[in-house]
Amino acid sequence: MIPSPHRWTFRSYCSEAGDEIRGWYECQTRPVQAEITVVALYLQPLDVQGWIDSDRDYKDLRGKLSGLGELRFVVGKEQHRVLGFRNDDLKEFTMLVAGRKIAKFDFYLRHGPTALKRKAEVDSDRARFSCNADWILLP
Amino acid sequence: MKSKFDDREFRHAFVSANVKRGIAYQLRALRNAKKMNQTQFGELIGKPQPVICRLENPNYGKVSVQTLIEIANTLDVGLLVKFVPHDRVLREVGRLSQEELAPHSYEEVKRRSHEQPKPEVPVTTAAKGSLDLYLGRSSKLGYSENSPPTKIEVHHVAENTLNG
Repeated sequence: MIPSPHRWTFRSYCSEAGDEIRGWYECQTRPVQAEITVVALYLQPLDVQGWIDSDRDYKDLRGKLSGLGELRFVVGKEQHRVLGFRNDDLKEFTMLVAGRKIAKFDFYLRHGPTALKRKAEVDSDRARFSCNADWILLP
Repeated sequence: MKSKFDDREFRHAFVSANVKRGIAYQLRALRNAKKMNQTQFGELIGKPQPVICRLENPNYGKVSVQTLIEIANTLDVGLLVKFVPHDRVLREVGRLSQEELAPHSYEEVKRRSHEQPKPEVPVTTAAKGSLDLYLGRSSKLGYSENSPPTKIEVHHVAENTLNG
């Protein structure tokens, strides 16, 4: 059995164009960047139950998006979401799609199918379709 | 390499997000350590459940220092609220751990320290005095049977060594 690492690592979906989540991150305002970095830093040392309990910052999705989870944060009055999935054995969270949530279901209708497609790609070839996202933890 | 922290707006937003999240995560961790739900925890610290829910919300950020003091005193844990250089903030956030989010109460720290074996490394008189005072086993010169005095070696330097 592989020993579980102490802290979580973050990974990003990578297309041929590169790190898609970093591309999104670099386009955000400084407060949004700071908020997502702090969310990642606080989730990093938690155990799996800690992630599940922290439903303000992370939530497992259900229904058609079951298997995915989302990082959630608010800046001003804007809600932001990063869809991804946990690998509890490796203590990894892979970020797949990020954006601003405007209406209740709008975000999931727009980005859910993309997230599922990307997850399938990462599941099929982790090295090709995902890359380390340590940059999210570095202020 | 240019750090995001070089940007003033980023720094300020980081500090804000960190303080809000720090309080929310600590309160949740302290509650979980007591295996209580929000209602039970609220009864313990004298706040209704909706207040606990709000305090555990990392986006809330309007908790007063007085409330924090009251909670700290009820749980008998220490509380630090202080202005520090930004590099200190980064160091603290960088070494966050699940255990540190829920500090033990004074009595628990005391109990655990008595269960642990005595340190073998020499302890300076000043440090030992503070430790003993904290652990409540200090009488000026005497020690209880459970806490024998740590051996302190004092090396005298020969006068002629100093004088060459």
